[in-house]
Amino acid sequence: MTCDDWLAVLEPRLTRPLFDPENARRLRRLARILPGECRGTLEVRLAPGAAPVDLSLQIRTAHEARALAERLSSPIGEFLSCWSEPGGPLAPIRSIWLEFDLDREPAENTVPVPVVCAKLPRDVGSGWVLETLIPSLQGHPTSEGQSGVMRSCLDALPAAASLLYVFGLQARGSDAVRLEIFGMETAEIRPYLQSLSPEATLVVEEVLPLFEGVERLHLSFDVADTIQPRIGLEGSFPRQPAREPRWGAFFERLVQKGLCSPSKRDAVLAWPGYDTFWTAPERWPVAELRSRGVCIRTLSHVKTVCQPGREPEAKVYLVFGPLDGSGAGASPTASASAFST
Amino acid sequence: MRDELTRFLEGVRSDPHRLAELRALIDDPDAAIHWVSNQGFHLTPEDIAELLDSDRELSDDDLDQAAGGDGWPPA
Repeated sequence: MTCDDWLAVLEPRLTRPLFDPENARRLRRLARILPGECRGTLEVRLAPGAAPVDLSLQIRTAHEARALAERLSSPIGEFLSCWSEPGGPLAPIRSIWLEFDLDREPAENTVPVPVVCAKLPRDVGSGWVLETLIPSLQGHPTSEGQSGVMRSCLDALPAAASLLYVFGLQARGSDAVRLEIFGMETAEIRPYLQSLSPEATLVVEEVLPLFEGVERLHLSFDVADTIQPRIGLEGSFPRQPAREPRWGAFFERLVQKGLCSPSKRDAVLAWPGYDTFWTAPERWPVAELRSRGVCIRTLSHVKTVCQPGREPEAKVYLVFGPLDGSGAGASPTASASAFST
Repeated sequence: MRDELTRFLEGVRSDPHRLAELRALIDDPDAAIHWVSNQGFHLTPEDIAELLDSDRELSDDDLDQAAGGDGWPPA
């Protein structure tokens, strides 16, 4: 079973305005060589017009990690392999996201090098992050300068905030590390950034008002020997749009700001739902699942990215793939047994 | 070698009329097995139970929970 089996189920939805034919073709070409047990996320740019759609996979079990480790070169392959060892040095990681950029044609039958994102438990120590996790992500010891800047960022976090994700960006030709912080309100973000990087504060000012009233905010920035002035701000709501009118209001603000086309807004709000064999019999992966399983579609979150000298960009993250416990994907029990935290 | 249920599903998946007939019968295993046998296939009560289980509806809560998943919020 491959990731493309799920995209085949979704095929009638992989259309304009969110997916132009060329981007849908690239997605499906890559998905054919990725495992179908994992849930996926489609990263869709919301500005008017066609744009690449990137694909991420969530790795939750040792089995999934080992299978992909064999197909990825070091340090990413080694990182996945190390994480798959119960009780190993990377055991605190709760799950790993692999993000495949599709701004260019993926190679035939070769898993491209992904951006790697480790999800951390809330109580993780900064010592482990800096001395174990990040060197493992990078495949070499972290420089004193980079490590010192990251330590300053973590030490300055407000009490309610915590480091949730750490990204290795080598797939994009960078040795920077992306830190993603959870638990700050919009009012806390400005002074936090001001304490670290006044330039970063300036770039995010323009989008902060868009996130007023939005829940579950994430702040992300890249750290090399300095903090780089590319700021990501993302947010969501606990419920899907059918039961949460604030999604519509949030997207309306994005449209008014020129960050999202009205047609893409409408398509995103119509995304959530699910399919089974009975709703999509001709596209269902019968050979692999018979009639079992559920393919979900959910709206995860919206992200804005701000950089000096560039207009802010908005993206939405659309989840798809097997529903846990539906007989079609990874078992949460297997995940817990391998990576209990 | 494909099992009988797989072959059956591949045979009926593109026929909305037959799928609707089957769907109306799957909560009555005996009737469903009889109908399937008239189509030239031999399914077991376990096969019919699988078909019935797969014809599920997700609630809004189910979908909200799936959306939360492992991504949100932090443990």
